[in-house]
Amino acid sequence: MIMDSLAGFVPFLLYFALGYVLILGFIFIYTLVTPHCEWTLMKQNNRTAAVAFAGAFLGFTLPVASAAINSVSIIDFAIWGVIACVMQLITFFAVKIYMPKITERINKDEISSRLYDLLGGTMKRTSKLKLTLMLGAGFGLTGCGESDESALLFKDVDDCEQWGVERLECEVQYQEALANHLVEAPKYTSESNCESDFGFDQCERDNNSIWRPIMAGFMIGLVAEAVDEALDYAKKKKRKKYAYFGGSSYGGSKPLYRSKDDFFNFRNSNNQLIGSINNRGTVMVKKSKVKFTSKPKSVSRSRGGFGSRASSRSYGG
Amino acid sequence: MFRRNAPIRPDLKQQAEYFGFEFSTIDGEVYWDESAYYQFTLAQIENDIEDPTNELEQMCLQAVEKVVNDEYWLTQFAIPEDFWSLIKRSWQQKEPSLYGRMDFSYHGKGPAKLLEYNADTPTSIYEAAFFQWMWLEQQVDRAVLPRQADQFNSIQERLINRFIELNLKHQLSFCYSEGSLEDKGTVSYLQDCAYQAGIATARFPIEEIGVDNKGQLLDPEDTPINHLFKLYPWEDLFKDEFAKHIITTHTRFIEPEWKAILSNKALLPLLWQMFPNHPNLLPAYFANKVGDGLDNGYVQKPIFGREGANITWHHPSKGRVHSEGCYGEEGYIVQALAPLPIFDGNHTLIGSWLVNHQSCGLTIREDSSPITQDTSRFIPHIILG
Repeated sequence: MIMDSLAGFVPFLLYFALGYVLILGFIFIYTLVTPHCEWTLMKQNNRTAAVAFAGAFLGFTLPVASAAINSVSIIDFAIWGVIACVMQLITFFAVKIYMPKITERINKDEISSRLYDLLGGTMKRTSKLKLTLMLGAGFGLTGCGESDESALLFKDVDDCEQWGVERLECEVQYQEALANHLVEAPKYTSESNCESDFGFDQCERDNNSIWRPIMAGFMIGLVAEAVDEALDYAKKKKRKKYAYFGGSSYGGSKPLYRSKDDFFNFRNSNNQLIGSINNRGTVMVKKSKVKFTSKPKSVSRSRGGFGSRASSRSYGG
Repeated sequence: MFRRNAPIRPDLKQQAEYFGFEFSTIDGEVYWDESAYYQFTLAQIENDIEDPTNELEQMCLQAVEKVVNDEYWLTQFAIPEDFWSLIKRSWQQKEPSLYGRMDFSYHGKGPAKLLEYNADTPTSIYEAAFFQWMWLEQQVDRAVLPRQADQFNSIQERLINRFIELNLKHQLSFCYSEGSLEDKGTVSYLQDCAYQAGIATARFPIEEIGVDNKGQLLDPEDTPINHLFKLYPWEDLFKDEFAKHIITTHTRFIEPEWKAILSNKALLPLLWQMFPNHPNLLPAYFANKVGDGLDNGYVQKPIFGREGANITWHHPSKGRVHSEGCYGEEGYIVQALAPLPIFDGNHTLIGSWLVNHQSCGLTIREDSSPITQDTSRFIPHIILG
């Protein structure tokens, strides 16, 4: 019984060895005949070369396997193995007539994700594209990428104290906003330039000949929960809000401005709308409007010197 | 090369809205027109468009080298003398270029003929790179087009790779001229690509640029601009009130200053002089010094001109066609006529995209007039067979 099964062992070894030789022979000839160098390209992680080669490899091994099953003798098997090898090489050159640049494209690793044709299935178009910023309202990053932050807006220290914060803490916050104001306030070369943006008598001069708007208020950035807690304390007249202006909930204190054209709203130094000057307590604002690094502005002398030849025509060509 | 009719996607309007294609119709007229498409063979694309585009690009770069080093040519190109050294510097320092589009007259057989090179402020890239691609994907999924249909279009991939390569350390500001939805859309699209490349970006109208007392250009938040992409022609920047600040500013521009040479129609006579009888070039001359090869009609174009304005078309038998406009004060060139092919009554113009000097995609525009203008419709294309 066992001997009967083992009787097939020698032919198996023969067929296995010959199959192996055929495949090695095919790989050797194929890589020699194709103008691109499979081994180098695959070592460079060239997917196109790898896929095309794997396709050719499969295309050869399947007929070889079939020949092994159906051949009547080992000679027969060898003959069909050689025929399969020749056919595979003919296929490559047939595809090359149809796609003359196949080698160039394999070298450049142009590959189709679809692999609609295992041998040299390359496409002239990219397989995957997406848009981010341009997507319609509600889908883009502007709508959902940025979290709201709550902030407390005050005109001055008195305003802050009346809302229920300890005066000492209000002073500290005010001083921090003032320090930021000196750094990040918009700058102008003349009082009239400044007033044209911020209104009559709303500008001050620094040590140099630079003008800037006066700080019209300040904004304390906090995370919402901390403000809520602070509000609770305020209602209960427990003066403990001091504690909530620190730690990770605290987002800094920033200067606020009132522009001439929009006098009843506060704006930050980047001219972003924050909220009405009549707000009491918290407002919700985008995080980027509260938490940003103070950086000095250049002195803006003038604007609008480009685009004069626009007159609403398109410039595209 | 065939023109075939196709059903319009039923949800085209929603698609355009979702993907931010605000100018799919312009002034109530269809601009993006997918009721038809053009079909090319792979050989037509690779041999007749892709290879010539790459070859012409190399010729154009040789032309730039010639112009920046020759005052005669700088004068012929009507570039103000104040900016000669600036242009030369940007060329010598190899300021990187992002993209460009060559326009060809091509009818499926024979060599494509270069009509002009929009090297400075080309538009229709969003439509070509993204919306056209999306159209093919969806029409294949809906079985309107066969699965093996392909497209000459690796534009967006290459744009993103180019932005990565630029390796910018600072924010890149994208500027457009207020009032044109098309320009704003184009700039927004390029900003999107830069964003996908991991670059910090901002976008604002060029009219909002400010200047400080040191001659530095400022964005609307008064921060100095490090890198500026401007969809606004160099020849106009050279004439604007702030032109003098271009010389002092540290701002680096995309497209760089040397692109002012390639986007200039004077390039055409120069190329013809440098590479006479090149199969992809048409005989071209300055209007005051014409030569041979114009007997079968010619086109007169202003040295600075956009969107088919101020062009006169002289045909020996069909007469004259003229387009109005406000260009031409710097002079004209003439170019032998290579009439656009007519498909179903439409004049068809092939725009061949380059990103980082590599040919990578197509724009096809159709117009009822032989002069393609900004009102021409955009028609998608496929490669099959």
